[in-house]
Amino acid sequence: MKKYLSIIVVSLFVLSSGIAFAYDGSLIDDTSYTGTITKIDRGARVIELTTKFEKTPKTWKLNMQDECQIQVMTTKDPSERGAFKKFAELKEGTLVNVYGWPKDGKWLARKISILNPDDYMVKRLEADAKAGVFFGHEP
Amino acid sequence: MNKKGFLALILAVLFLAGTAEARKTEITPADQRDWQVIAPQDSDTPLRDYAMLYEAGGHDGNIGVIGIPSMKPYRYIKMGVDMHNFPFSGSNAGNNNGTPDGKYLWVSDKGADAVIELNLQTGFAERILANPKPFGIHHSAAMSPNGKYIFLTGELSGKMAKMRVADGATTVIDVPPAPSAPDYPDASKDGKYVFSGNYYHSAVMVFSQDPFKFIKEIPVGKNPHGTNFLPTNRWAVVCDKLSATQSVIDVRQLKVHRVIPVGAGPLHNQPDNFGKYNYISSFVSDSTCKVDLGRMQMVDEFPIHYRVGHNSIAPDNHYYVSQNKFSTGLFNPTGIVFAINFEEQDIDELSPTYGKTVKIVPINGEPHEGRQIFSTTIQRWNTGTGGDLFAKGYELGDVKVNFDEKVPGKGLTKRPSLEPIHLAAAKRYFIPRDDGKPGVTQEGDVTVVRVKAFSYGYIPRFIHVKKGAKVRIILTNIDKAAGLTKNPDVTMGFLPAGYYGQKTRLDGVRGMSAVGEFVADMAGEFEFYCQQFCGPLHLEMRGTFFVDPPGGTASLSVGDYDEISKLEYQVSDPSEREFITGGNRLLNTLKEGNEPAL
Repeated sequence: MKKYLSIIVVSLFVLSSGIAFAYDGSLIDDTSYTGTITKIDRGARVIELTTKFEKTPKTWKLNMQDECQIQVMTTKDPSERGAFKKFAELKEGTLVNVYGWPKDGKWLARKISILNPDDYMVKRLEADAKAGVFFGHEP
Repeated sequence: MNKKGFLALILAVLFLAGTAEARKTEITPADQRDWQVIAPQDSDTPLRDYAMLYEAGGHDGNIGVIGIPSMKPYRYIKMGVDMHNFPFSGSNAGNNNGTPDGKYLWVSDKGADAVIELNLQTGFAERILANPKPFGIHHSAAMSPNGKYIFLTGELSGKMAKMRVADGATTVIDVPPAPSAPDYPDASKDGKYVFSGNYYHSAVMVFSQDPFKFIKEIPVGKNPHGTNFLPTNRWAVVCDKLSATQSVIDVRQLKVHRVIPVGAGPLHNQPDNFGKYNYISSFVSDSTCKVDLGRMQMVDEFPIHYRVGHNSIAPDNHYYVSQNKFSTGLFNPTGIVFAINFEEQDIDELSPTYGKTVKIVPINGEPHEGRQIFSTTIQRWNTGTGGDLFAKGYELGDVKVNFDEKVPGKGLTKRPSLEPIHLAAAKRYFIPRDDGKPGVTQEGDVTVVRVKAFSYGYIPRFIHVKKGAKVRIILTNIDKAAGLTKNPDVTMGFLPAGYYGQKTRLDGVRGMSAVGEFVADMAGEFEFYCQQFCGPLHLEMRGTFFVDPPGGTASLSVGDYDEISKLEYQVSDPSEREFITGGNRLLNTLKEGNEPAL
């Protein structure tokens, strides 16, 4: 009996540890992601984003709302700061921060902020991720 | 050419080359001017600013517009009596700056008990969203993700309101158990929750956005102040004012995840656009505290000058503005009330001036909330294309923004430019310091109310006058220096919220007494408060002004609230009354669940 009990206890411990440590990145109900645009479906106004700076990169499909703004947040060119862009100008491979929310099984993008890969925040997030320090999503 | 001549020629060439090289490295006038940092800096005064800081000016009744990074004050826009907090229209997606669409901001007027709408494109006040009476003072406003609702806190009435901005329809609920003091709210980014600090309970109150109802309270550190959700919605951060800590709330589990020690007197949060860092204004420690939400610890601290209240962050995370309450000795005197200041700090970690103050400027009023917006969001209507604002709207990339909402009193061809009455109806003056006994006395046909103000309270705390009385308030500042912080140049305020807020706003400077006179023609219970920031417990400096009806005592249920609601007193031109919407006409017409907040 004791043997079975200990097996159950150990199993429960392993199971709970597994659940605790399996969570290693963003979830669908997060409201902001940082990553690279890996695919753009211009007809359906859907972008695919692969997250960065997380323990395990995730890939999310983001549906753009009609009001979804595309704006340059950081850039090497001072004259481009805050410039609004058209969807047609958005390119795959661009590093972005995306804001929005999940609703009815979809993730609705409200704003796409274009980032300068050399900006201090990107460098900081890169360096911290290498050091095992993540932000925002992990428990 | 002989050997000597050849050598001389080589020497001459080397000399000339050396001279040329030396000229290249000559110190230029620009280098002489900019001896610390040679390369051009963002903080060099530009011809155009890439961002604009909108700030609610508190008791000056204005919204100020300040350039970033130049810190040039561009405009002060007349709005009301005591301007406190605002969201930009659009969405709350992102950090505190949200995702503005450039149409409006909605600022809470604590003195007039209303929300004033500022059209960012015309740059004028356009609509007044009146609160139901007696809602009491709402201290702050937070916007839902879809931008259709704002959530208001009734700090002194212990109530919360959800207001539909299209027509001002409002639902008011109680914040249990009484007494409650909900102050700074924020709405979660996923449309689920509204959080509000409650300094009476030392807790964060949790409400659902839709249906709008109270859920629970989460105990945090002592006397919570600023409460904000981070962009990922993973955490909410709370400034525990009297514990010198930051409580980090796990939004998924609705409980405190971590308590982080920070500088003394933390007041307000400004998370960056990623939610990586949170910049905290720490009033007592005179500093900006930088908290790393990956490491869950404070990682840096920048000194400020002096006694910071609110704060704001640039939309690209490169600048942070510390909105300081005192300028002791920094600027020229301009009268009996000292200027306060805005201090811009460089927060770009790769910049040579990281962590340093790059600009410090005196500012009008006593600003509360500040939010920053990219300048590209404001269109250039003064090039002769202003008519397009009404007819066509404008484009942000390929997002079309227009002004064709079906709102009472609004039409495509008519945009109002309201001129709020503010204090025009108030009779106010200064007299030599009055040392009379505090309390209410009858002197002839005048009811004289002597009020002593100190940090942090009033004597008397409760004031009763009869309806119809001619009232003379004599406010005397009895402080020698502000409590806890010992600042010597503290001005005390006296402002009864709501109806009498537009008649009486007194500034109690040291050495003399401020007097306000008015007729108490409306019965009711009106909380009064200090509108001049005086220290860390300034918010708790409160009292109650009762105008008792004949044969009775006023309360929140006994008073002329219906009459006050019918008085659309906030604009001088009757034709402008069509631009007042809200609780006055539509009390509690917003039913739970009739339209989702997301």
